[in-house]
Amino acid sequence: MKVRKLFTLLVILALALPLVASCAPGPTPTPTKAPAATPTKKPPPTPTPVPEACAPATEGPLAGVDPRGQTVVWWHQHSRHREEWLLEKQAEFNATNECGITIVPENQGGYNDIRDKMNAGIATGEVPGLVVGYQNDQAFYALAGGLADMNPYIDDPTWGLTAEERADFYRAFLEQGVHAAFDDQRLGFPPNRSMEMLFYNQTWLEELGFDGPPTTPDEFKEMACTAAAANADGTGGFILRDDASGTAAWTFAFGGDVSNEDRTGYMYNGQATIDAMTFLKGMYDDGCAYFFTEGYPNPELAARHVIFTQGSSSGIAYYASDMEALGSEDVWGATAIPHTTSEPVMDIYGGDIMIPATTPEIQLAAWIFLKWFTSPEIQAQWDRCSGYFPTRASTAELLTDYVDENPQWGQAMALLPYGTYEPQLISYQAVRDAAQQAFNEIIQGADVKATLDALTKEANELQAELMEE
Amino acid sequence: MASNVSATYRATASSKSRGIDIGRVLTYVILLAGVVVVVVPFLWMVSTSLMTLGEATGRAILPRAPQWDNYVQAWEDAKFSEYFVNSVIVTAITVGGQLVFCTLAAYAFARMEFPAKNLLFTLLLSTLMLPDALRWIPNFITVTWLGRIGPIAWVNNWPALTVPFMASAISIFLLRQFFAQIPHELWDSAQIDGAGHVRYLLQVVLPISRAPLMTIVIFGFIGAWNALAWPMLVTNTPEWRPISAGLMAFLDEAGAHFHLQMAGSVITILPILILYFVTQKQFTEGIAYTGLKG
Repeated sequence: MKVRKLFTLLVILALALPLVASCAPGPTPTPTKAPAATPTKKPPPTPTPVPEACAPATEGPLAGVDPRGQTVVWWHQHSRHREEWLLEKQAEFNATNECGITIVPENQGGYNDIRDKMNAGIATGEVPGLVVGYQNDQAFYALAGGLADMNPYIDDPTWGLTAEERADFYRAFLEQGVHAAFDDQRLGFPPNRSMEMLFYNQTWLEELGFDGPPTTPDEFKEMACTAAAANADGTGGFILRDDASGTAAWTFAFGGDVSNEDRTGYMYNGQATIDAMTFLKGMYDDGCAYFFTEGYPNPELAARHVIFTQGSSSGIAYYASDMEALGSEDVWGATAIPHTTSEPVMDIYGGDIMIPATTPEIQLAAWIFLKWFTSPEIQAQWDRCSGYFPTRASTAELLTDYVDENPQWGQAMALLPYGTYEPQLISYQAVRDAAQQAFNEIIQGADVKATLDALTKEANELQAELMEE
Repeated sequence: MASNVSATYRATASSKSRGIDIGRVLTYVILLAGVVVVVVPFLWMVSTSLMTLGEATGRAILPRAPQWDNYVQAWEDAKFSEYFVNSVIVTAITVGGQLVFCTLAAYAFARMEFPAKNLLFTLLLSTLMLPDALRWIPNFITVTWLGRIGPIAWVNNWPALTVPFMASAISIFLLRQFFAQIPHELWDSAQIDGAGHVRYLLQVVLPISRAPLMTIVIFGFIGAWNALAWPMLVTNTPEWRPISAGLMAFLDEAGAHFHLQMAGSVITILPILILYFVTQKQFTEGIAYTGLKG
């Protein structure tokens, strides 16, 4: 009899489980409410001695907020040697910071995984003290009320940045986390950056009669066409990059922008974008540029299949590795995208660190760590480890020996003051796909102006739709 | 009529005797194409796993000198020794849970009568239409809530990784199809011998259901072993992350370390291959018996 009852119970459970697992209801999400404590059931941290040096401020917007003894979990995407370095720095910070703050860095996979976790976490209140993400992620989280505005922390007389420290950050890097679509809230802070670059084969350029890399589009085209003629098989010139960052970089180089004036929408149909796309299409039509879709462009540069490629500065190590792997003794370099402007305008990009909405104490503790992490001394160490660029000008002085060892990295770093950035809008992930499609359509022969008009319209509609939700 | 049949037979026999059976040739050509589609990516993975980074990114077909060290480096860099144990535990609990809950649910749907049985079964099948990503947030909210009210934490622990997958709609469907084919006479005989549902299930149904049970073991094993998105969502530390999480160590913003990633992939799929080779016969029978075969 007992067995029968047990069986009945198990059968009911077995029938209910699939439905519960698929459609289980949850508590009403309260995204704007800050969670009270750490994300999982962990024993509370051992109480840390409270030093007086870190006492709460008595005035300003953060008056009375006590960061002492807080634990800050940091969700990041760094793995292998970068993660190992972060763990070393964690130990250093935890042992030396005057506030008794405990930082806990946790690798949460890639940016996509972190986005999924944040969206789920905002729904349940299980968010960390710090999280990495791109600017469009910031817009998503902000729309759900999941992020803290960092302006009060940066501006705070007690805990903020001094005027000197603020001026030390490259202007564009610091601006990139400020969102016009969210009342100019500062939703992210830059720990590092990468940049859209032109890679070139210096040895081959010299063999073709050129002194060095181009600075203007006309020079660029002449060099690429000469190399293409030398190869005489459709390769040799420039490998086109259809990524949205490529389109943005060329627009910047032609003196325009893909964001509208107040940065709340898109403007892919400005004259600069039209000129840039027309220029690239002309190169393609003249046989001086081509698509290469079977792999990465770096081995192509190393094998002299192409004289120019374009991509992220984070690929510098891969170019170096391919040069070595293919036994090439050619000198190669990284330079600005050829520009019509008097000075280069460089497309800089990279994930920010954000402070999710938790408690005032955790948020302040998170900012204190972030300030330490972006100090020049720590940045210099981080850049050596990661290959990223610093976000503060004074860091360069601490990297002279590294630049000597990595000349292409040094060439690129010299261009950091000329940085500008792509849209920080909530729809940018989807718009990037549309921009890529538009680029391909143009190269295949679609009308440049009409295609870019359509792209601008589609992008702005997408933006409006997402902001309404 | 007889002469027509005879003529047809002679024509067929004549064609066969010349050694040309077009239907059979066509079948083999299609099968061969299928084999190529399946095997080439596998061979590419193994070949790339033995290359240098330069060869892997440079589209080489074969390594110049096999880099066996890639396997050692992949194992160490991806912390596979740590993740491997997690995957074994999580997979064992998930598959064990599936065997219990799916068997009971399938038996109830196949052999018992209760109100709204067909409606519940339809609801269950309809969950197959939902993309996994659509269930993440509701399931995450559920496991978080269960962790808050229960005696142990669910997030960052084995329950969140296993319990939501213990009832698999496809496995329940598969077993139900098989159980429904068992002749009623067996149930009648069992009843005459005084057996109830429990004894009938344990002593009659399960012993003759080895093949479909092995099929759901394999499906469950593959699903649990390869899971990545959900485990990443419900774990915050490596403590309970599965082996597939280790593969992410070879990806960064600048690109993938293909050679190490492929070496890691070979390591991660080995247990699945071994399981499949061991249970191949039962798996094939299971697919045939449960009507999944086309």
